[in-house]
Amino acid sequence: MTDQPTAQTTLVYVVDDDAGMLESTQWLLESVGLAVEAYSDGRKFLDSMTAQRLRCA
Amino acid sequence: MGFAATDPQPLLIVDHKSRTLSMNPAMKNLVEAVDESPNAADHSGAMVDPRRFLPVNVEELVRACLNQQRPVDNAEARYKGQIYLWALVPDVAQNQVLLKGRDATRELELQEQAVRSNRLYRLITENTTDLISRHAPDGRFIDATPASWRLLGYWPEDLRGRLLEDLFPSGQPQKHLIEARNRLSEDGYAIVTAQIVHRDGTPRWFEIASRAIRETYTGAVVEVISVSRDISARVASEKNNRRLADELAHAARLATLGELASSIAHEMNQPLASIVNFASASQRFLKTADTQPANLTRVGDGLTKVIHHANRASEVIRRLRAFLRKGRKRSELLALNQVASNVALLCQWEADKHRVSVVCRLPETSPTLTADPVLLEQVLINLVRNAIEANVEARVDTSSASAIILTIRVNNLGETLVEVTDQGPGLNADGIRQMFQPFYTSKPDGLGLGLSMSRSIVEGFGGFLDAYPAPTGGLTLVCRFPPPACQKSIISPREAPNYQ
Repeated sequence: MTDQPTAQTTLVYVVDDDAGMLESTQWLLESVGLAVEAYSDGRKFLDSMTAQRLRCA
Repeated sequence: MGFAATDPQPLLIVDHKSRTLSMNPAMKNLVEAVDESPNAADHSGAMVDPRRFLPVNVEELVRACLNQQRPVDNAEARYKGQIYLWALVPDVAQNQVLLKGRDATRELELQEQAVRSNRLYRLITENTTDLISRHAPDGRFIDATPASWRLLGYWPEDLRGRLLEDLFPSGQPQKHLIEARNRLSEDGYAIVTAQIVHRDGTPRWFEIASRAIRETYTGAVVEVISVSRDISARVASEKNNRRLADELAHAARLATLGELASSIAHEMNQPLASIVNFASASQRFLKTADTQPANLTRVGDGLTKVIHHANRASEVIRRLRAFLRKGRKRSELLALNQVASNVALLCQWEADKHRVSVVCRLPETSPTLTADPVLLEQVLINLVRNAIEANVEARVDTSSASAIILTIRVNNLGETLVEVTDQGPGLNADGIRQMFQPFYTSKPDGLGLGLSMSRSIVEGFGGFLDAYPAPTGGLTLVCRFPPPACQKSIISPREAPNYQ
């Protein structure tokens, strides 16, 4: 899992290969008011990284 | 008193002191033929003493015959292997006795032989533990050996003239009887295994071999000879063996489960963790529902997801419990695709852990097989896990992924094949032969029972389990099941083709 603070809300990246875990974790984080982006594997997550959107893992 | 000179039987007339008075030509021939020695000429002239052909007590017999004025019959005399029976007829008026001889050598020998063989026959029939019985074509007992007491609870006298139906009113042997009768009239021979109730009420298993005796001209069955053997002990031992095999298979499933425990824990953990997440999230959404009504919808969604994942978890438990089921084998018609999918799911975590993917290649319409679902799963899980291990063994780089292929297909002979192909190091012909031996294993913690047990399970379903080198360099394990039409006929050892 990767966190990245932004200006307004905190954005959380969730990576898990189990669909149930991925979805439920996303729900849990959203229920406490966090923004979530979910990825089912590491490759997709890395591919989504661009120069404009810097993150730390 | 004269004699017929042409009488073929030796005749002799003696006086009251048993001195020979005259004899007929047949008697002369006898005397001369037997006693050819020239020195044998005795004091009474050129004549050989005929007394030696007469019974040793001839003097007493002659006296008694004259005194009592009655004939004496069947006085036995033996001389040089010849046996004669003499009849003495008194002629009181002349104080003479007529002796008439009869060659009984052959007759008495036959009689002695008959007595000997009769004694042997009785020795055999009275001491044999198998029941030998003779039956009329309708099954009625003609005779039986005394073994009937031990085997059936009836003495032979009780059985004579009785119908089988009267003795065994349960009606149970009837269908065997009809079957046996048909085979007897066709082949003249039948072996039947039947359960028969002893007079004391205990059921016993009999193996009954029967042979038909035919009328020479019409060929009709006139009598049936049966040899019945009590095989209850053998049947009980076979039953016990089957029970032990069932128990062994169950123990092996427990062992498999133990080995799969970490995978199962992981598999159970996923839905449970998801449930906790969904439930916690839904709880929070519910708290904020009065300020944000939209959150109520999310609570509903969350509960649906909780149900979904709880079902997933209970499905895992159900599969495991079904797999661990103990007890008698039961056969049902199985869709093989479903079995294969189940197996792939049970092995999923183990496969994932080793970075091996299980690829199922299933036909669109699932072939069916009559078998015990749990045992079949056990075999396939065993094959898949072996294949995973083979892949891991052959792997050079620990991070590289590999696959095993689970294929179900029907070949052009109509046989249903279930194949598990790995990308392992493969085996040579010797290795393939050895891998099916009990207690042969290449794994440090293996028992070496998996494949030999799998093979006997598959053979129990009427199929075969073999291994072949795969084109990928690994091995293909093939469960081959004959076409459904052939499965019904049980192949008896005599008719079974030799597969060695």
